[in-house]
Amino acid sequence: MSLITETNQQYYQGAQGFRGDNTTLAFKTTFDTDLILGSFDPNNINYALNNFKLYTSSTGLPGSYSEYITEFSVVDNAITFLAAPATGLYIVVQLKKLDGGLYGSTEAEKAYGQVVEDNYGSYSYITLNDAIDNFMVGYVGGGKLIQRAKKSDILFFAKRGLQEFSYDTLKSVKSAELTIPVSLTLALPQDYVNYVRASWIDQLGVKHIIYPTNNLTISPYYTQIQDEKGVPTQDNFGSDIEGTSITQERWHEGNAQDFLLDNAGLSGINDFAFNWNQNGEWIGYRNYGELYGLDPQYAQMNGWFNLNEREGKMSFSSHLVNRLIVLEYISDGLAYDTDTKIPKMAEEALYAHILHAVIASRANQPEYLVQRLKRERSAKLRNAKIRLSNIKTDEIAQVMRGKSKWIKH
Amino acid sequence: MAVSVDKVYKTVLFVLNKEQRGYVTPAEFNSIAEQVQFQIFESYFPDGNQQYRKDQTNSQNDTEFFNMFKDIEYKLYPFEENSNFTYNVNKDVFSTSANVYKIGEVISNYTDVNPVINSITQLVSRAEFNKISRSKLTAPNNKNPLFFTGNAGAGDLTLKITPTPNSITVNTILTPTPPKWGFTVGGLGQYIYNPSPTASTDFELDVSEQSLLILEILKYFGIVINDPTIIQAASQEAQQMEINEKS
Repeated sequence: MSLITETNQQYYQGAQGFRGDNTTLAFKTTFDTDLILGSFDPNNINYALNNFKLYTSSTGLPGSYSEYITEFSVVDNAITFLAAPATGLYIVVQLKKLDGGLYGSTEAEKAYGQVVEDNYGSYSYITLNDAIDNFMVGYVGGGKLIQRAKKSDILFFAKRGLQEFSYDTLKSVKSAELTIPVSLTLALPQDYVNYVRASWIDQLGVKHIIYPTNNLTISPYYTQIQDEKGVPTQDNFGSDIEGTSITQERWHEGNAQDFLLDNAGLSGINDFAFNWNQNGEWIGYRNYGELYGLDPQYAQMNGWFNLNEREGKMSFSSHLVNRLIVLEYISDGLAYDTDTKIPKMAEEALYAHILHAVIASRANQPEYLVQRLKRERSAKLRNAKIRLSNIKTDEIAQVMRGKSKWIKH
Repeated sequence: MAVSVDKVYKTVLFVLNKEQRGYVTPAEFNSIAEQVQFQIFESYFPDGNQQYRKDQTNSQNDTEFFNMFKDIEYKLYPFEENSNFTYNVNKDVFSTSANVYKIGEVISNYTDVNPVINSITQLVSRAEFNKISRSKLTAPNNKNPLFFTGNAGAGDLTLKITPTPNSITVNTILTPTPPKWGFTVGGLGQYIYNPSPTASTDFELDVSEQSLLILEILKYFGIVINDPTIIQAASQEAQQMEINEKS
């Protein structure tokens, strides 16, 4: 059986049609996406939860479809009407789509949303549950390396594998577009594990990488209020009284004075002029590089960020205020149900990971077997990394053509 | 196909009477027959386990009729059934009135979600449940539910499933129904077999067990009538059969 079960219409348009016969009450949809019905009634607050709209037409001609808002229910992805639709009636289930889909006679009736687009490209992934089921079929049972295994064990190792893969193997697809507020701090995304890079976006949509402050500044974890002897003071409950960070305050203020003279209408060119002189020397922060020359780690003018671990926030240098940034980060692949998916190019690596983890954690397994599986895991993980690195020879060739460029000194 | 209780009883009588060793009353036969049926039934599980180990050493054959593990598994078909378990709201468990000997795979059906989810449910001990449910990676959900067994108070089996499904489908092995050779008394005081289902019950074992049944019953009656030759002969035969099957 082929793995693709959706028709082209279901995949591209997010629509599936039926015909009434005056007998059938329930019409089963076969989308990859499960139907979500909050309410059939547009006046009900839960109506907004629906991920589809239902249309009917007596002729089936374009423009003749109207939304069906009489009571119906969804049971196991089947639309179930209270009374059997009339013979010949055209019924269409339209998943929500960015362009609203092809049906609905008014704007209000259009099915606006992103459900169809969420499914695009889904064929390149396999869900974690499917991967676990596949593993149980292929690797667990009589006459196999794993004679018996609790599903909870497999689940544990599969999820741990997905977490580990998320950190260094899988593509980093998470990114958040944010605007830096006046406070110059942003709360970390809910599923944040580590950052990949942060960039500010200029008026042309070009991204400019912002770098971590490294040793330039720090966000202190504790900011106790001290008495005149330097001893931290406590409140009525015996806990240290903490204030705001003076380091961070100075960093923010210092940046505003030294790095930036005019916040409004900034471009990279202006920043360049403010922070660098014509000899390529860093002039915005004079203590650095003045005596021994330029320190490359600070030789950039895009801006700085640092992590405030205490508050769970990212802190930015002040000349980034009101700027649009994109934070690319990695999660662990388990935060949301929609995250728990594995690229097919790493599927085999995940199986090898689970197999090795199960055998390696069991008592009385021959060490040669554990080592063999370890090597298999390592090889398959390396393959997955190479595949997911998306290295194309013609793209490399294009980059390498730059090697013949003369570097002037 | 089940083994006819009448055929077994008459064969046993034939062997025992042939050399005028004694007579077996229907009540004695029914009692011994129940014991023997249960004995053979219980032997399937250790035997199955033993034969399954051949898979591990890759020494099991994969023929259509001569794979002993499949053969033993097949012999359980008369006892394998999807038993009806109902939800007890007060105790938050599923229980059954069926005469369950062992439970097999439990499928939890979650019908109040879309789409309907039918999940294989994992049997764990209470201690394991406490551990597994504390890990965020393995905590039970409707795609990976867990259950442990208990009893409803009168020895009835109960299943505590987390999260609670709307219904469950449980593959079970039922305890064999005791065989019974029912009769009416004839004009001469003789026993006449009554094949009516209300009076008689056949052995539930597969027909392939008929020889073993007779031999095992004879062994017991050899003890009852204190005849070592019967015990010895029947034992040897039964042992030979066992060796053939397991080697």
